[in-house]
Amino acid sequence: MAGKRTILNQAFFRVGLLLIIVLIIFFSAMQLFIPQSFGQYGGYRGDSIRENANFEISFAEGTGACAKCHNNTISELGSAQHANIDCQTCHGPGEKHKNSPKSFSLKISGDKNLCASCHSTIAGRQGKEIATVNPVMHSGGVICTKCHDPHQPLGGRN
Amino acid sequence: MLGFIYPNELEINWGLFIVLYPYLTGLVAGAFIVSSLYHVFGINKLKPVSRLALISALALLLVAPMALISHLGQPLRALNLMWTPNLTSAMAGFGYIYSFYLIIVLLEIWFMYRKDLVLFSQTKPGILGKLYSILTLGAKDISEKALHMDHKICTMLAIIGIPSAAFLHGYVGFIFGAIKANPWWSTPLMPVIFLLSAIVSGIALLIVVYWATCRIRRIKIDHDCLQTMNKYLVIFLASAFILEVLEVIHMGYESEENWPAIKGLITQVIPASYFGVQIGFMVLSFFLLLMARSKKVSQLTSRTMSVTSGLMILASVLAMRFNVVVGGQLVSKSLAGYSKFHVPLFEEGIIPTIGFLILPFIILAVLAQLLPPWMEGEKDYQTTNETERVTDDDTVDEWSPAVSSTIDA
Amino acid sequence: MKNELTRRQFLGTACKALTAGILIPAAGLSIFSQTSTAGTVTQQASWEKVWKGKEWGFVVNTEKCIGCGRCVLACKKENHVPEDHEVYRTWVERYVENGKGEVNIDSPNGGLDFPPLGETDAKQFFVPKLCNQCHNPPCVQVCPVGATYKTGDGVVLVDQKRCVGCRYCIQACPYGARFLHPKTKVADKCTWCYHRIQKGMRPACVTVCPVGARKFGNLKDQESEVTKIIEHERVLTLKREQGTKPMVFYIGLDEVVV
Repeated sequence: MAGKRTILNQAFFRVGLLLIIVLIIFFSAMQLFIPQSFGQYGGYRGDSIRENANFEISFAEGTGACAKCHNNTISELGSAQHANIDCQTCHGPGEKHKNSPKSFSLKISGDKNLCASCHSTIAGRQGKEIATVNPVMHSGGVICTKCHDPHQPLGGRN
Repeated sequence: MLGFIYPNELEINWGLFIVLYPYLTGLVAGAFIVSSLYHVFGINKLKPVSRLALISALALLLVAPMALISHLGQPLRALNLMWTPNLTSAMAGFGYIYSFYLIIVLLEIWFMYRKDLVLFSQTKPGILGKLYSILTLGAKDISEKALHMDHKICTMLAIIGIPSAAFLHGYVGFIFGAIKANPWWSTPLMPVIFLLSAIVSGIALLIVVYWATCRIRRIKIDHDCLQTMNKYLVIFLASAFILEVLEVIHMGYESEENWPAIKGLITQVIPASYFGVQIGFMVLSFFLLLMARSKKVSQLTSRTMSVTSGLMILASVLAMRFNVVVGGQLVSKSLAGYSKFHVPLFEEGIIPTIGFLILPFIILAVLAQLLPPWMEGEKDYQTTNETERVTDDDTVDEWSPAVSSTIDA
Repeated sequence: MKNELTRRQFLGTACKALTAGILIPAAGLSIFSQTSTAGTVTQQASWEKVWKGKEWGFVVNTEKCIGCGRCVLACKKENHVPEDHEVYRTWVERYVENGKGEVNIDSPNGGLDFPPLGETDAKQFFVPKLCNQCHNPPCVQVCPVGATYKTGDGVVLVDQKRCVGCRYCIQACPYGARFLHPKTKVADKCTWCYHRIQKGMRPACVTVCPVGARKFGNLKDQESEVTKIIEHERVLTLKREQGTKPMVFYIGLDEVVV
């Protein structure tokens, strides 16, 4: 009775059924596990944009934010050498301080390394518009702020 | 660290597990090709290893993704690859290509062994018998017609399996070859080189495994089978060698901006691994194999040379994977320096790597017990001195491996 | 013979099973998902409105940079990049030519700890680097799960919840801008402080630079300083031959810069 039609055997049918069941489970799972916002703006999860945009801010926008309370110090800077530098460059992230000044202090001691990070003589700085010194030889180990007021660096303290 | 590297390049991102993954999938592709040489191209001399090759492929296939998932920074999210694959990424192919290929291999094994599964379910006692019964999926018809259909389906699966195996390993080559940022990786030849060296490693593996299992079971090694594997190994080895060397010669000749950095890599940073193991062992094995094929050597010498060659090739291909994966990351993208690879012990280190290399053989031992791959016509070398040769016109009952023939009798 | 099926019978049963198998779960899931579709419509409109008219750009002037490292530190603080690990969203490289045609390049601790190296008259300068937010980003191309993407206003971001940590994007970046975050074990990189620029602020590194070597702005705004610089000064981008179309423009690059 073989005839011209191919007869598939029981084994093929059994395996075929198993495969179809597996595929059905897989595609159902796929519907379940693909996040809702995926594909909104492209091949990625749309919600992620908002997540990336909502991280905590650490640095306040700029000196303008500090001026509200610290106008005196800022006018001290005048047009001296450090006038155009953002306060946070030396004082660190200011957003928390701006929101609750007493809880987060931005007071910094005269850390030699801080001044040295810009002003020490290292290869690469030559020819730039910044005064450089060898920190040890210049002051013999004395802290920079003993002679230099950071807000008026060449004004002289004594 | 030599010279200048970008600060983020201090840590080598892809370590030993990523060296392992192409190695294991390469062995899978190679073993499958050997099995297909018999099932599709009808090279009857390879019949003794045809089933062994297939279950070796399965054992390796089960371990390969373990290495990959262990490497992920967030392994619990691994299934993201199946739900939202990015179609421009070669690596996204892993989920679907691997699953498809695993299904093909499982189906081929099932159809090949169905008769045995049915017979075992009837003869094996207790839980084992029940296990076999479940594995038959209730398809208990083992009439001549049914088995004939099984055979046809098997051949069809083997035919589909060859390009699938090529894809399974080829896409890994493309993962590396398509990265323009890395001068050691970026070449259109990479998928072809990976595939050819994969086939080489697979055949070598089968030579070694076949020899080892024959020794363990005290069975005479079919010399024709071994020589046939040798022949194909020589052909693929030569092709793989030519392409690997051509790539480097071409880079050296064109001498683009990245050439000094590449030259420094192979001559100063990884010379032992590159010239010593990868190239050196490959060349040595080539000549050993040629000698093993010569009529002037005794069978014992020929066998020794083949197996030694096989082991050297396995080492050489592992070194090649290491040189590509880790070597490529040692060259800084600044082209001005090299990083250092500190071989860890535990975390993505030597110990788990050795574990991943041993595990497939343990799985293979278990599979060989459950699904005996031994073919009819084997001779115990303690009881007979005759060499029974499997000739080309041996068409006697392709479908009865040694075990079920004893059941029929 | 009764165990065999004709091809026609098998296909018929299979089609029925497949259709049922897909329709039933799909129907069930559409019931569950209806509550969230309402929210997505409004969200769809919102980001595209935000992005309209914006294409961010960055300018680095290597003639001004003094290698102080304030930017590197500020970035670490603003973006919570671990300070005790050698991973950087931005870093500064130093190039010192020794007069014999050789150049010494270094970036110790990302540019936070430059040793003096002795005085020399030869050419010497600093080059700050960061993610170039390429217009044709290879990192986005290779991510297998869609965990990194380019927004409509030109910033390449990482979906920290979706990334599986495969590190393919790190391999694909020609500039070494990406790294694996040691704590979260996902890919991380400079985002031009996306959370700041959405609020009209500048990236942290731009804010704290004492000499104004870094500039940021909207390239579609004719008045912004970055647009003016790019349209009037001679600028270069890094590794132009790779075809990534980077959006960080450099003033004062030299042929030795890698």
